[in-house]
Amino acid sequence: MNLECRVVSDVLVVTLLDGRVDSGNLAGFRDALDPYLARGLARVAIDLSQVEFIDSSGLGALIALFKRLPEHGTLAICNAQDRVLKLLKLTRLNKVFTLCATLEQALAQLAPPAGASNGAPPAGQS
Amino acid sequence: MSARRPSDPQSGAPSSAQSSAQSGAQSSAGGSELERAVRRHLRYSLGQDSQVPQPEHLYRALALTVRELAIERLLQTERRLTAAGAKQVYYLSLEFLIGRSLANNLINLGLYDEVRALVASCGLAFDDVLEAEHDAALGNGGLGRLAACFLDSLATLGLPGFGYGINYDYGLFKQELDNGYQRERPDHWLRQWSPWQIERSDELCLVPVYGRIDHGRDRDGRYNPMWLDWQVLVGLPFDMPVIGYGGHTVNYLRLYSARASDEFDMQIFSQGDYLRAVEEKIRSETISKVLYPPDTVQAGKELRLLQEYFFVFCALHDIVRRFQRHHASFERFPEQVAIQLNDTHPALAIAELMRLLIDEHDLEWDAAWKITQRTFGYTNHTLLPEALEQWPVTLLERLVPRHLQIAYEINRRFLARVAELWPEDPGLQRRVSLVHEGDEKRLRMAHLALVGSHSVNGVARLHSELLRTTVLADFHRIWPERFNNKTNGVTPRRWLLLANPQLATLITDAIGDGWITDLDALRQLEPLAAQSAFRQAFLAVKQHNKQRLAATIAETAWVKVDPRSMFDIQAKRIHEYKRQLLNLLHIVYRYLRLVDDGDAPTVPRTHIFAGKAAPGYWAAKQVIKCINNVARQVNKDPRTRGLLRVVFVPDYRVSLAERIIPGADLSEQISTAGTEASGTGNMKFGINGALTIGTLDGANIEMLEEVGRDNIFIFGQTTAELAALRRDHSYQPRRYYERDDRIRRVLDALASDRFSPDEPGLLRWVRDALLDGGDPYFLLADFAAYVEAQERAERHFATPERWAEGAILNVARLGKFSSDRTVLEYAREIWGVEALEQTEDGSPQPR
Repeated sequence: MNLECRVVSDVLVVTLLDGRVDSGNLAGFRDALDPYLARGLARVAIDLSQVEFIDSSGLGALIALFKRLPEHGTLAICNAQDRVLKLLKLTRLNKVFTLCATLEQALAQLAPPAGASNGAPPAGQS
Repeated sequence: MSARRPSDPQSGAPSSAQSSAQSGAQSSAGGSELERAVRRHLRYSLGQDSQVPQPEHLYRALALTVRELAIERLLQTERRLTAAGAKQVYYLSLEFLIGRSLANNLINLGLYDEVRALVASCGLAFDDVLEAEHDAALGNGGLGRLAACFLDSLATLGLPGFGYGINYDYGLFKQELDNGYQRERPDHWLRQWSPWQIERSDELCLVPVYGRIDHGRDRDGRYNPMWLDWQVLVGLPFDMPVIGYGGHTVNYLRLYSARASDEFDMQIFSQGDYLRAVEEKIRSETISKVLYPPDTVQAGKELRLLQEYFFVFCALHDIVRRFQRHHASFERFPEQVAIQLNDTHPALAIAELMRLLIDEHDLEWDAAWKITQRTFGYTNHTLLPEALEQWPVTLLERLVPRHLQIAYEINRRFLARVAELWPEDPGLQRRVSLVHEGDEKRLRMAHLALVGSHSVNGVARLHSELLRTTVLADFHRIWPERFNNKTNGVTPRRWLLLANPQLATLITDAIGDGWITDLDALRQLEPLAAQSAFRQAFLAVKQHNKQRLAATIAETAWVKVDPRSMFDIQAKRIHEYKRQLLNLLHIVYRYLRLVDDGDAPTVPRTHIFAGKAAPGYWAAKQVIKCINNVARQVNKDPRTRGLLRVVFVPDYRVSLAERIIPGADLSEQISTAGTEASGTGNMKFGINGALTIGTLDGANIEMLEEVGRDNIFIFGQTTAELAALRRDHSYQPRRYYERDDRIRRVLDALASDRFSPDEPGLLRWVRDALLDGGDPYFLLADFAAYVEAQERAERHFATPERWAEGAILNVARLGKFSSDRTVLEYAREIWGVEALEQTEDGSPQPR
């Protein structure tokens, strides 16, 4: 799978770069995120702006990612196109993940309350 | 409403309405403009250079021309509705038995005569061009044809009403006869693209199916059932314009074709597994491949359930999408949207709307349920227990797990309420439950439809009454206010104006053309029934129609029939309850009297059958074979010459019905009392001037009330009498056989190989089935009364003027059975919608 990872203010931002996310191209998704999760990052924003279709395997991969986060971890989805948004709602993942219109909104949603720290090591551009 | 009607294509007589106000359609594309459009399509859409086109090419060029006009009107109608913010009706039906569209659309646009002249100028016969169109046979019988009539009426009445269904590649099978047996052949009506369909690839719908429920928690720790591991199909919509009479309103019928989630799954493709990709595509597209014949539905076919789910999912998403274009919240959904379920096939729509509102739009259960109940209406079409749909819970769980979960929750809440209100009747919960308990749990779709709707209607008064008192009596006790009746009707545009142009001309010349959109106006014909000149003119029209039918019979059944004989016709699906076999028993009886006793009938008679049997329905298929064997024996017997003929016309379909019905003298509507929901064939025959011989069943009862006892031949036991026979188990068909010489003679003759000399024992089943099988449809109980009614009809027919008077009074008094009346009743009493007219400044206002 083609994806881009970077860390912004302790939030792991994952941009999926394939137009179609399905069982055929999920290989590598888990491994690509391992180093970041190993660093203790607990807040993740998935940017779906490039994704036109995601099947249930793709959504399953997002759920699996969510389950790997620490107990206090959160996951936000941003920039989902209408068709993808419908599928997220269909599965009721909108009630598990936070859906945001833009990455900025997602980062704001995921920002810890002032003064709090999630204990993650300093992050940089990946 | 200004309108034009066609003149008779046979006589070529000019339309008396030719000089009436021109329709808008004509003025926008009249005369040479229309001709130029047709020539443009011949050349640039079809690549034809010939000055004398083939009928097929001219049909397509004409259809493409009409399509352009229709699309223009469709867009205008849409703009008008949007401007008015009008409430809209969505008619969900697994079947739309449309038939051919060109002639009907030309009539409704007021272009019929002009196009007929244009075709003549090309050196072609108009009928040849019309017959180049393939019937769209996307239905099995009455239910699907009713849906098509309703769409015509909705558009004609200016009501915002739209159909939703499936774009089957294969419609109802073609019927051929092979040694008297029905053989089914596929009807690939979309083999060549349909010019009436507008592909809407920009509005396709993703449809999830299969999968499982993950019982998780949401962000706040509340129960959150997640539907995971689904597969996805694509619903690709095709719109067929539905042109109302006068061309003012053009609605649409939206039919969905199933496609794979991508044209090819590119990922699999790029991995080199080409065959797997193709297989996936084929499997997905199978869903809209074929219309199921009625008998195969109950076998729990997964594909059939997939069809039902597929089209309601697509429909609901489209309806909600349209609503959301103008509304931010769902509070006003029931004020803006009415959804009618044509039988239980679309009942999953109730669970789907609940799912949409709760899962995708975050409504609380109670609010979503209130909206759902206020939105849906349910039409029941059958009392036959075997036809009431039930789906195994295990199958639903596999295909649509979230919908099953919602249905369970609907049931839990419903049964809790029932227990609270009727604690003294614990059995009530079991009887009304959405789930049939037993070895195999099944979801009762009629119960789901009823619980989720604010209205349930039967389709004739007797049928509605029987629903209240028998199969749905428990529900009537719970919600008496939900029950109502809407007696079916048929569109007079197709079934009189188009199918019977000579009678239409006679009527219009006598009373004007108001009847086309107000069928009650036919009452004005009543005084003319007493006038000899009018009766003679009426008989001449009937004779003309019988000659046309005789020609059709000669071409398709290879039997020469005498148009001066009484045409006694039973044309409808072949089913035991409709009792084609009773009709045949009477024919055998008359034959035996003629050839064995030398007792000739008072008037010569031609018995005409037409209809398809479901492919897996053994008894019905045997009836067809039996009819054909009797026909062969009767027709080859020289003693019957000029007196008796029996014909089975193959491949009954809408376009053939348009040819058969106007030629009928006597209409056979002889179902066992209490079994036919309404019937609409009875109405079509009646408004075309046939007299009915029928039982007190379905809409026959209301026809009797309208035409009077002197103008219909009613016979047989009533629903109540038959119920009593069933209740006390007192019906013994063998007694009728032993006591009635006529019955014994007929059954013994059939068992004796007299009608199957080369096939020994072939028809013995008739006697065995009736005497040993219990005769569940009471053929023998009604036989004597049927013979007596036939004798009355025969005496009546012997005096043509008297017959003509009765036939004219049938036409005059059956205006009630217009689908315009039916649809208006739905609109006022169930849907709460009204028609829109355009004012002079272009703004819409209620009609």
